[in-house]
Amino acid sequence: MDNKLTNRQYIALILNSFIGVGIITLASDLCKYAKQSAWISAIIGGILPLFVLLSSAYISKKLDYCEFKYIAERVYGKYLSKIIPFIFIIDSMIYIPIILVYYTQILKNSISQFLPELLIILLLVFSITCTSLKNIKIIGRLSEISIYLTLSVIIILLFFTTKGNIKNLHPFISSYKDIIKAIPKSILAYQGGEVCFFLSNYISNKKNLKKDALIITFTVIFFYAYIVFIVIYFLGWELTSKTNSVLLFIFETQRLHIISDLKAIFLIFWSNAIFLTTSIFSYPMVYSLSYIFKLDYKKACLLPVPILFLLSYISLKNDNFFKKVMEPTSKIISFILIIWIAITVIIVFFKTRGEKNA
Amino acid sequence: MHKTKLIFKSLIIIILTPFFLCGCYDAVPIEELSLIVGIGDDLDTECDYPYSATLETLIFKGNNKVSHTALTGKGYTLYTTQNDRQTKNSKEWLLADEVVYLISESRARSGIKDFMDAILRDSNRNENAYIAISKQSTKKFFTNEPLYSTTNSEEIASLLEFSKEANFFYTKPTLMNMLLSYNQEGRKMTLLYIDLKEGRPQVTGLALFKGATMIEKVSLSEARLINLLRNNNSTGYISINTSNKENYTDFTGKNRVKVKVSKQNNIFVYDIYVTLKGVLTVNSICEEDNSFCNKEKIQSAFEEKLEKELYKEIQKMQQVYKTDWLDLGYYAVAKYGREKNIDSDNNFCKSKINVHVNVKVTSLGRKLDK
Repeated sequence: MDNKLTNRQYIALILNSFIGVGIITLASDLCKYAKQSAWISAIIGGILPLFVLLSSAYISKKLDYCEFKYIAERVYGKYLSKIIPFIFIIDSMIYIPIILVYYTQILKNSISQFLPELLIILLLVFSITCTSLKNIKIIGRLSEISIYLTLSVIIILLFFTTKGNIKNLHPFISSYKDIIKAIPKSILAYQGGEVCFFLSNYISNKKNLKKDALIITFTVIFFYAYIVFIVIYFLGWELTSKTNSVLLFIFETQRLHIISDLKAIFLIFWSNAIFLTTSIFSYPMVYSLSYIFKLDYKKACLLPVPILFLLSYISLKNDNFFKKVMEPTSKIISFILIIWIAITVIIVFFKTRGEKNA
Repeated sequence: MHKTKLIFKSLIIIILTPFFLCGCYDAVPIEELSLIVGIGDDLDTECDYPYSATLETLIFKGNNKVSHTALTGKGYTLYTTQNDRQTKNSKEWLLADEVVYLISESRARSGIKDFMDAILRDSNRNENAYIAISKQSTKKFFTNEPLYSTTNSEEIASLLEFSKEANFFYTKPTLMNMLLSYNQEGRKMTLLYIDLKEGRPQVTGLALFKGATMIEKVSLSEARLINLLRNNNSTGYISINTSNKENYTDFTGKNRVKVKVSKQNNIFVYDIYVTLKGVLTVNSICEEDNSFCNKEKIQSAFEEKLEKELYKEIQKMQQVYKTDWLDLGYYAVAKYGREKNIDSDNNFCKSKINVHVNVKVTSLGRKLDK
């Protein structure tokens, strides 16, 4: 029990792994293509986390909730199982710098113009390493606190319900083609559920895994679709697609007494979510590194630090590198991951059916 | 014991690091700051530089003494005026607390696309600042002697803020509302027009825009009718007059606008339902004409009068201005699809517009009519 995650901690942890930069950037990314029906694209994009979480629940149930290395060995054999973790290592090594770059850019544009970029990145990588040095139980407990603060954005956005116009959202569906075209843009927001493959042996209550998957997915979908909906309702899709950090922009316009505006408060809550998201992302990477190179877990934490730092610093300084190398690679690696999950589900299905018959 | 010590140590580190990293190294005392409260943009046709901008700033003299000053800079662009302005200023600028933006009429008529770009791009600007078009150059407004506030900007800002109390003006003529009406498809900008009369700023009409260029300035009586058709939940005063100037009816109320769009033979048909809800404040007409004691009679008289005026205004808009300043394209676009050029002015001029005014008198007041 000491080293296990409770049900609520598990839900909070996976939710936190999804909710990151997407809160701020998703609306403008989708509006460029899907226009006023961007919120429908946000709902359809939720198929990805649903698929990842449900297949994870299925695989862990069939393989008796064992650790990830046993899953890999049982499904892929002794030699192939050494290659599979590389997918997760590259996945985390690409996505953590992308999140850090977005986060640093937003910080530079909003509240910390005076801090040099190098220092921000250094602090962020330092905090990620510090958090991942602790075990997953600590991250679970932190996420349980942080997720309530992050989800409070739903309440903050209720301020804008009286200020918009429903005409901004009409006609709800004008072109199916545009809606489908926008769905791949939501991949950054819905990325991050893969960590659930590594957690199945940590969960204390294993019966509810499928139910948890549904709860998590619908919360995430509701959260994102709600944000996109309110933003379009308030601003209209034209203005939404013209600004890069649209949520901060609309928070700036809401003036309150005592505190000048909501932006600073939101950034404090949201920074917590970003620190946790990146820490959760680093868990599969550290685990895989310690598995492949047969290292101690704490030593494996320090191994990726220079790579993470260099990748994020280069992509922050060189916009071409970020747009032409990092972003396409991230899409390819997500695609490979989805295929890997699908193949694993099929193999597990046939293997376990054979066992029952025999 | 060991654990609490560790927590204490880490807390000290966490609290102290921000102080060292982002401490007040370059901070300046308030006496050396130029706190910008108002920004004015002008077009200078006479000199070599096309743009000139005037900033009104607060001056702190110590002992709680605060006064104001205005500085003008000239340049080729919006922000390079700062090069010129800084040479006259012995202090550091501080943006983000400005309360009012003014744009002179000549500048607005030549187009303010660059200004629209700046307010969206520069996150230091305050989106809740009020904005208006001024008849004279903005320098005259800011160098004026304020009557009740420390600065002219505060006076103009409160003037614009409370313009909503009459004439059916919209509630917040801020940069944010300007950005929304500029960017949303089918909508057009309308900004308040202020004038310097006898040394006091005063709202004298409505400046009407097409894209980012000012086209027309309408008087207050015309602006009232346009506002009545455009804005929702705004307050205004209207009356019925007779030949005798003592006998008339006064009505105070709030409006609500609903627009229905339909299509007949490729021509758009707009049905504008204007509902006015309010109270009677004067009804001396009933001493002459007994039928005016009846609530229904008063309501229908108001409806008839308003419909006549509104039809006249719409006709003028379709035939003289040939521009859709009633935001009707906004409703058409919402029904028939976006980005299809449905909201064009050509479509508006050809379209058929019906106005249905519905006046509801909720109370006849304390007085009992015979």
